Amino acid sequence: MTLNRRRFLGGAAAAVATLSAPMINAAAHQRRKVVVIGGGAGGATAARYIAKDSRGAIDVTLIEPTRAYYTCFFSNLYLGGFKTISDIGHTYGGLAGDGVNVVHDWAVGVDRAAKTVALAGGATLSYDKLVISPGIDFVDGAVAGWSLEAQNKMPHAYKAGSQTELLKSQLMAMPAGGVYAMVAPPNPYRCPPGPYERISMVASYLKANNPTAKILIADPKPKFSKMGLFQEGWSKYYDGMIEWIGADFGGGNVAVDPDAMTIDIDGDVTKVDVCNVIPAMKAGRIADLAGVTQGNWAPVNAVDMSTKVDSDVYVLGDASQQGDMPKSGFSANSQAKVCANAIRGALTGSRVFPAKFSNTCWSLIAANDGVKVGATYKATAEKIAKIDGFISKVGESAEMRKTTYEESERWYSAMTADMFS
Amino acid sequence: MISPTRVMGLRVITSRFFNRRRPRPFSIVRFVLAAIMAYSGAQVAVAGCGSTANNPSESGPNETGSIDAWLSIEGDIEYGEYLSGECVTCHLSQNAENGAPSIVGREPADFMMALNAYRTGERTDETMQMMAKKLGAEEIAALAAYFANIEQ
Repeated sequence: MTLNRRRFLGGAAAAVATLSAPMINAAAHQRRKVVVIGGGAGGATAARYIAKDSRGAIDVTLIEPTRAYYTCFFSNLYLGGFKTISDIGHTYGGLAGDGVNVVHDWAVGVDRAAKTVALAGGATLSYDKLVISPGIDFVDGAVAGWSLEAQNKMPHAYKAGSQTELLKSQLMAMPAGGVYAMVAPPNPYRCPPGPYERISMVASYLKANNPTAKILIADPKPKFSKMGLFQEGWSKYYDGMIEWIGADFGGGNVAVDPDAMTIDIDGDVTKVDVCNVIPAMKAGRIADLAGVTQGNWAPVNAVDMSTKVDSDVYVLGDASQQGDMPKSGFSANSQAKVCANAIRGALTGSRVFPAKFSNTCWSLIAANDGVKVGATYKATAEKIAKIDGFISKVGESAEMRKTTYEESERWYSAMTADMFS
Repeated sequence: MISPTRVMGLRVITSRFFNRRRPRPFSIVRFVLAAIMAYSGAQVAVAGCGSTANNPSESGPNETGSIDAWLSIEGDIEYGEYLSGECVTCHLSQNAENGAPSIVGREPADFMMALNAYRTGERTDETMQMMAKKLGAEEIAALAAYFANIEQ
């Protein structure tokens, strides 16, 4: 299939970039090509850094189906009423300004022998280096009774956007004294503290608007990220509202019925008003189609995020299996910069520096009560290995928790500017 | 106005004194430090001070040398640009009101002393302590040179 130019320029942002850079495009046939699949924290960052740092020497195309991207990070704060949906929405015009060709389409196939990517719109793009950063998809049949067809009755809201808005509207429509249930995911999954920050934000909303409501969590894990910090906060702010049923109490033995709106936890059936099902996760499907996954994830080399099976194909973020880093937007952004530096070096001979990674995850427990966990990492022959880390302490002062929350807001501003320019 | 503070076990003059813009950023710093060191006769441990210019990643934190030598390391701006990727996840790459405190356009000596203060624990933010601890002398110098060079 040949490239259909009209479709190729489908995005307004891409058209602007092309019109504003005619000299660059005139020389396009001589430039090395990088295709990036997925415009989230990994893909947008990688595309931007390769384009910006190569100063036009590399032809970078970003394939992203949505024109408006909603960040998963801070989407819980929207549920809690601390952010609006537009606060967490971003567009790709800035990336186009940095020289990235933004194509709004689905990548539906990768031919690693021919080094091409097929798009749903019919185009085929060739690449010298391919970056796949597709985020997550859900494991079929992970929660008995639930499938993607049921996602409007029982939303996951673990890909931000319409699902998040749906969950918020269901939360707001709960009857007085109603029940909000969550099915939490097994490890490993996107954003380890995410489900528990969500519970905190849902509780914060309910405490103000529906104080007799209850929250029920069925969890296949015996413990979870920042557990002591969350439990301290839950008993401090939402005493008696939240019931967490962990693996030791049958929390992993769950079935749901989306039509009856019931949840069965270890044989105990409860009628609920909202059922937020977050199933087990795997790499976004295009990683599978590219043949770079092993099981649910794509194993990568820590030094540059290249896949174990193909040194010209890289996988970033949640979809990768890299070692010690949690699956988070911050991690994906950090990995993208290491990857961008390596790809630029490979294609243009620019200097390649040692891989360095870091991650910090902030969570909001209640208004102005923020906590965080962070670590630094290095590349070893086997994996991305943790060097050092820290976590907020129980019993911290209100002032420190407020500072931590404010730090997270500043991070959000900088992080999204770093991704989208 | 001028307050003494502790740098790797030595009391030196810093604070606002360091924050004034000066045409020759190192000269006063060097003068003061040289005077102190001459007086104390001490060699102070500074972050990664030493001769690892050929392999910045191995520049360790526990080598011993003088602050004067440390501050005089010429920063590799290109390496600094790469390393800055870890900073701009939180610190906006231009001066702005809504990011973490600006780190753009500072005097290299200020920048280096600030990072060192996180290494020693004198500055207490845990995120910054963690980030600073893994940086060696050449890396701190590279970042200082890069951020000093950015237009505000």
